[in-house]
Amino acid sequence: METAAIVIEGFTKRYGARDAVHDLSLEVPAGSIFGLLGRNGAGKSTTIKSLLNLVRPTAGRLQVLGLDSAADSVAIRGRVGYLPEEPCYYPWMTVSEIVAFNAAFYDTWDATLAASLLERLELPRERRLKELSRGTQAKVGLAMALAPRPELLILDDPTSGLDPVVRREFLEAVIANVQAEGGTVFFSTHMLHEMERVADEVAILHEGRLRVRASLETLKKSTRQIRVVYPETVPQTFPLSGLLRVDRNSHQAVLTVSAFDESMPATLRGHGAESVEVIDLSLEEIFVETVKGGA
Amino acid sequence: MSTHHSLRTARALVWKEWREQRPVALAGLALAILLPLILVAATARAPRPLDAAALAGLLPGLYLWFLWPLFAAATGASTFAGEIGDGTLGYLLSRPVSRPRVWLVKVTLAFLTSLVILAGALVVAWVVGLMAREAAGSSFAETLRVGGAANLLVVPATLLLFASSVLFSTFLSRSMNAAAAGLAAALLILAGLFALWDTLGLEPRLALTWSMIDIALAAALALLGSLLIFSRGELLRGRGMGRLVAMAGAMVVGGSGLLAIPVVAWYDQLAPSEALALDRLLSPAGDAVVLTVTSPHRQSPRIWVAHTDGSGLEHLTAAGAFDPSMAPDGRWVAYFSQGGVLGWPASGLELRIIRSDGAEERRLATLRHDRQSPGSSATSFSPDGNHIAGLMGSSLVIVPAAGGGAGDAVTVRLDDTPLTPWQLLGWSATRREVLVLSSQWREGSQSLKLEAVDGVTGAQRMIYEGKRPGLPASQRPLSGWSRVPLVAGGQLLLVDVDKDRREPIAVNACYWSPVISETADKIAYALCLGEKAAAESEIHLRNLLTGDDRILGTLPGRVSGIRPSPSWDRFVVGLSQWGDVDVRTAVLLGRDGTVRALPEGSLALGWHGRDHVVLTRSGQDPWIGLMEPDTGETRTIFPQ
Repeated sequence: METAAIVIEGFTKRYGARDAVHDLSLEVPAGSIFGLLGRNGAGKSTTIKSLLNLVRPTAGRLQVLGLDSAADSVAIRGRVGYLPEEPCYYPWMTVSEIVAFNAAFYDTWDATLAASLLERLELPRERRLKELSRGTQAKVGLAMALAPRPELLILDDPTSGLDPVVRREFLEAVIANVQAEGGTVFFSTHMLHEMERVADEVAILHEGRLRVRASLETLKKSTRQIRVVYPETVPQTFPLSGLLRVDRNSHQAVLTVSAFDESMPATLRGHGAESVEVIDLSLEEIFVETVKGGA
Repeated sequence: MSTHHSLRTARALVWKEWREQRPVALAGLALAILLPLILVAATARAPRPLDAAALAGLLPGLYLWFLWPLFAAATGASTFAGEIGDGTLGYLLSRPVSRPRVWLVKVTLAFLTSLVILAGALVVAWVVGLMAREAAGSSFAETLRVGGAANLLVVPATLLLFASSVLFSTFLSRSMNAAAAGLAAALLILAGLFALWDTLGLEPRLALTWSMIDIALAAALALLGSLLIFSRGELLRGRGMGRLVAMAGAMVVGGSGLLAIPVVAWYDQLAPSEALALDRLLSPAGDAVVLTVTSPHRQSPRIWVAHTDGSGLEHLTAAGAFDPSMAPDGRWVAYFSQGGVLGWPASGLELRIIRSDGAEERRLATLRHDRQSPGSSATSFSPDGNHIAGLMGSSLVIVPAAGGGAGDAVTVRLDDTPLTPWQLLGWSATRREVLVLSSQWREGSQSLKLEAVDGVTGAQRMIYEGKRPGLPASQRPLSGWSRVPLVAGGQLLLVDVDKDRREPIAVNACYWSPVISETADKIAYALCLGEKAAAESEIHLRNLLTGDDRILGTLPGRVSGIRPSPSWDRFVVGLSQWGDVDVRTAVLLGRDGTVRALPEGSLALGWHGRDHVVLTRSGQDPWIGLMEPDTGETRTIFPQ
């Protein structure tokens, strides 16, 4: 039976009078690649840091790999590979030194894998970290996150600010690792088309609240646009459930729905539509429609 | 987590910390090496360039009191602040290692770095000391020993500075800010502790050990605060600074106050051996003993009052007070105070006056510290109680007891070239003059000079100058001298201070401890007997009006003092030597020749009414008590 790698129940984090995250409940199935989407300030990093007990919840319970994130944080961090958005390494260390330094913290550290990652990512062992580019530093971070053979890989928007070539290299390394090792990946990113390539499931956070949580396939099937042309004027209401947004002009309307089903075109024709066209949306378009519309 | 893994993690943390602290350690050691060269170069063109011996004497203290605290603050402040600022702490805390362990390694390594710097610096000082020894006989150990207790106090003080810097480093993102805040907080804590000790009157009996423990506890509290913040905080990004600073400040200051509570609670349990009682002075009515109590290291003296009826013991002054004298009516006590804030020495000594019930206090004059002519110090009321004289070294100040402007004070600089130190004998009976006596051993004999200083004009008048005096009068400063007994040139003289006349009482013998009655009609003295001038002492009582001289008794040994009872019918005789043996004891000698031994080691302060002798014992077990002369029963009045 498949268990959840991450369980979040009623998680709230408050800073002053503002809720960075409000009453979030979420499960991440073991073995999945789970993408967490949201605009800047949506609460993604706060949620991720709370999983590692780097941020303390105001309310709620978080479990990682069956362990309580507050009580067992050291054990959790020993089984999780974590790559923050902007990893701050000791600038005076060389790549070899940061590898040796990290190795000391993990029982499961695989020196052979670490060496192979350095090789594959073309990382210069004797260069100091302060001399490396942002992209190369991100690759160092990825090697550090993968070398302990973690059961769960948590990536907090690791490719932001990287050029497309490095981003592709980075994602390929993640995908290769998942294919080789299995395990769960929980990551947030702004690069939605990249997430679309790899994610099994996604959740969208908006202003600290969960808007959507579904498998990518289900999400893409359920969130669609319908272009409707009427012979006369466009009606004020539409007999559809899960309507996210309506864009209209004199004879035409574009409806975005979050609960599309195959009966919707017939329903619209039955209400006077002259023509109905169903349009598939990319993940990025779904995200934009979700955070702009009122789900 | 396996032991092997724990060790590996600890080793990695230690390696990282040492690599980060290494530049600080090297900077500290470089400064330690350069400092002597800088000092020599800086003073090369001065009128008195720093020579090797002076340098050797200067360096250990400089390293211990300046370099070590400086770098302890620096290493403490950089423990977390730098890593909070550049974000690397967040990275470290996302590794699978507990925060207390990270904290422990970082704080330990930071303090060890400061110790490495200190050790290196002391090696430099030791080497300089070795080099200087060739030139001037100075040595490293001797120089450190001179610092004595102060050198011990620097340890908890530096620990406090370090801990305070660590505390602020836990939530500030810049090391410099943490160091500045740490220094301010440490000074605040020290000031708070001193103020608390001062308010509660603890210093006289607060031994150095207690001070060190209290300061070290404050340091421990700061470290505990840092550990709590570090362990329970979030990513420690230096946010919410104002609130955190206020919290830390309140915790440190409030906590330090709480820490003193155990000291207060244990105060009564402090052993008497932890205090020294000096300057014991019986009030004119005999109802109270005014004494200066200080720690065994003679720090923070404070004047206390012990009531002879056993009703209580209470401190009268703030810390830094000594040399008390009582007004003729016993209502006021004059004393010297080191002044300053919270017991911190001021630039001058203050002559103060306080009511004997502590209800009112006034500063009367300030005397500049005179390092060129150190000597004895004393205060004395005039016979009418309206003026006070204070002597410190060669500076004499005479001031109205009621206070007044600076113009009312007369300050006299006594001649300090051939004859020092000066002693304040007290006031003459009929004139408003202060009697001062100077004596010095010179080439095997003693010179002696007795002068009178006019309390209004400051004019000095020579009363007596002798080249071969014996012991001068050894009484405490008295009001109302009309005749001063002096032993000089094998004679017992009575010098009339008003008439510039001296009268030999006895000649061609060896005399000790003459004491004259306040009415100047009687004198008691000891005559040495035997070939060795201390084998036996014959105690004499002479009526100065009739010339009748009678022997009260013969005692073995050398007499150190005679204390007559108010009616001069009994005498407490102190003995300082018995044959060739030094002793400190006293006997009670009746006018009828009866002798009663006083408790071993006791000296007589004086008489309490007609019935009781006030006894004192000093040294490591100070004691003051009353003895009933007929039965020999004693009652303790200090310590209580």
